Amino acid sequence: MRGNTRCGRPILWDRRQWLQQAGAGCGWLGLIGLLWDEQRRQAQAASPLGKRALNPMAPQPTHFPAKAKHVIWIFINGGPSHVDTWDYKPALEKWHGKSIREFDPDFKNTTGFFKNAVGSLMKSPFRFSPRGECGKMVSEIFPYLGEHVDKMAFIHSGFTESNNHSPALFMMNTGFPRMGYPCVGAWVTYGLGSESQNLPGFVVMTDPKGRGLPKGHAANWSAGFLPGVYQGTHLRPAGQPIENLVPPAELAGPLQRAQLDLLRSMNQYEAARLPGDEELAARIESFELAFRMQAAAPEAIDIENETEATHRLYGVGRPECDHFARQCLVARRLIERGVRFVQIYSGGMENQRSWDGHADIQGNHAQFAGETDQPVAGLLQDLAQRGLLEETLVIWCGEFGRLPVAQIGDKPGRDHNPHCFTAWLAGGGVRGGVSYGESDEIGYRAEVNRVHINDLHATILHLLGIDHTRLTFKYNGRQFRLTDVGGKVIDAILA
Amino acid sequence: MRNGYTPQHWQVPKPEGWTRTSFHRAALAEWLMDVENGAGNLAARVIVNRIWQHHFGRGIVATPSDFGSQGEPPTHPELLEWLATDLVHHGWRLKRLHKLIMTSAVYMQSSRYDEQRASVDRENHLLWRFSPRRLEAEPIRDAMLAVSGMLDTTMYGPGTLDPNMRRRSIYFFIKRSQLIPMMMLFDWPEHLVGIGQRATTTVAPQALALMNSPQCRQYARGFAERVLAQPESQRLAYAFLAAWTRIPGDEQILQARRFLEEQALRHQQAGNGDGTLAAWTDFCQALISASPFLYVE
Repeated sequence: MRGNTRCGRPILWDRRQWLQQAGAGCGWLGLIGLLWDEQRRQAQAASPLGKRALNPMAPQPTHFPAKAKHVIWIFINGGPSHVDTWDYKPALEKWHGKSIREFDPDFKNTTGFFKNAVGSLMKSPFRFSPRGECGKMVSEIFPYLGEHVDKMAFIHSGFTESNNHSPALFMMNTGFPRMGYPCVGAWVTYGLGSESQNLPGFVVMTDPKGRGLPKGHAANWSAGFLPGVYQGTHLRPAGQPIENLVPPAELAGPLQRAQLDLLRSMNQYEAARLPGDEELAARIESFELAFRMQAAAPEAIDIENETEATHRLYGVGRPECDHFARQCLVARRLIERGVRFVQIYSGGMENQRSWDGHADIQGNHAQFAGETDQPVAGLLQDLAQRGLLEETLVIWCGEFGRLPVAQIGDKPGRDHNPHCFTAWLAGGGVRGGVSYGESDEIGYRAEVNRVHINDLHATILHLLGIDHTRLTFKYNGRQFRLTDVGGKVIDAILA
Repeated sequence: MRNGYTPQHWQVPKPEGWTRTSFHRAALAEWLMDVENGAGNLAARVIVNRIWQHHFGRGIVATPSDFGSQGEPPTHPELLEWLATDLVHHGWRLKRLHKLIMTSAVYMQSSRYDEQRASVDRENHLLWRFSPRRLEAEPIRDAMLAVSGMLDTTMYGPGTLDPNMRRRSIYFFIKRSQLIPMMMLFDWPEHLVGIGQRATTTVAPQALALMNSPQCRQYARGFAERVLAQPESQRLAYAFLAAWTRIPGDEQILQARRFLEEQALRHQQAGNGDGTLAAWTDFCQALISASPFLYVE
């Protein structure tokens, strides 16, 4: 509530106060929504953010009780092959070596990226075995994650609108295949604010092994037309993790504090001279917050004080996965400290630098699964042990799937497949050990209970207590949503 | 089209032998400026409103991109009409419009707060005072460069992506994948989308940039060197005037003197030379990070 009653007078359009004054009765909610809309309309007329500009990260009430408070999205960058990971397709044994046209005479070869390298149908090079109590068939490349299938809800019938990395990344992150729209993390922090005022509300981590950024770069964690404060803060893989976090050397120790005391006094004089301007009061607070961030942010991302057992759990120190283990552990520390949304990209750019297994699908996926399997499993277990999994939604998902046919090369690979992908969700109000939707017999196309990305986004928002049709921002003459004009919550995977 | 005109009415004849372009854009411009039969009246109101918004923080119509049924009604419709008419009658000269606005009594009002008036019009929609307003990203940076004495006033020519460049911020080249961090912090819009009104946020990363970014530190240092070039008795007044265009009350002056003395001592103890330049740099940095510098009133 900090900032909302500054100068001793309540700001009219505070949803939380409405809720409190209305006794939080459920019957009021609809009315409150209307009032909020009206007040927000008026507020937006003055500024795109209205009074929220004073503290845009102040926690906001949800539309209905939330199951999840935080999100950790493991972005399987490059496009994981569903038939080699979670979508077991025994029929591919039967079709192995045959043309996809035998399976589907109408196949038009309009899917993949490399149209001159379309091979025959190819079974997975990996063995699958039943795991967990639910008996989910899991690829051998996930020995650790296989332990946690009873926590996961699998979606096997996802599909997207582009077969090219950047547009597909934008689609998965923003719901639109073009750049310029706010991503899920931006919408969520816009809708809910953050519980941490000392740390950024939305944090993004990318590959620290020098393999580059995901295609489309920062547009993937952009705030689009939402105010820029809601864009993801990119934790830099090397050097200062957050820009401008470290004071100039000559201002070390008490010197900067003395300077800030002077500055605070200057700002207080100004605020006293011009009463009634809450922005001036917020400005004073922003420097204090920044000063606290200088200490809070390095502390949050420092994993050295974690126990040896925790390090081992995540795989810190194991050469193949040390980098990702550290990022997963940082993610837990961040959400523990109130950060709303964390996204970690596995892999860098395309081809061999990420899960983009055009060449040698076996080597590629074994490598990237090896980089992430134990760290993500460790994260799930650690969250569960600390009672954080109930309130933290963990997402495993890339931008598209891969084709069941081989991509011809020295070692066979697989090309992009926008018609089908698998994602899983765990924790935060998700029912564990279930599989929703089905791809066709060979995993070429999502067939049963098809899940559009709008549906996936609607479900994520729902778990966070947000009605996806009511989280809107007016831009270019109309109210925009993360789910645009679509989106259906997948009830079957809710706990 | 209105009044029975077809688009051909605004078609601009191509020069003799011209084949490269259709001249449709010229026709669009003709239509846009045509107050008799084209969109001229609306165009005049829209640009007047945007320039008003630029000066006051809020347009006469608060939704600059929406004059339709979904937009806000104007707070001062007659004024908008008068200014739009004046603009058209004087050859669409924007400089005259800026001058009209900026020399008006309403623009030159003080920012003084008045509880009685505020109780009637809390948001100051009726402009009973000049609402203090944060500068946009470009003038914040430009003004810092100016007081530091480091501003390169060269005009024209190509822009750059170098965040350390010293020309006005308008010379930043805009590359969508490589936006200038300092500008983005102070609500430079995403350049992928058209924005009629920028957000004005007050967030900690702005404070971090003012406190810790090498650029701000460099500007403060340049500013301090300029101040130290003045006779000792005039330094404080010079610094306040340069940064805030006014000299504050005795209490603040006293506080500034005390800070400079004590901070110089602290710097001495920390081994930063005799501490004078360092203390003045810290002081100048505070001046250009403070609200009187960042806000227009």
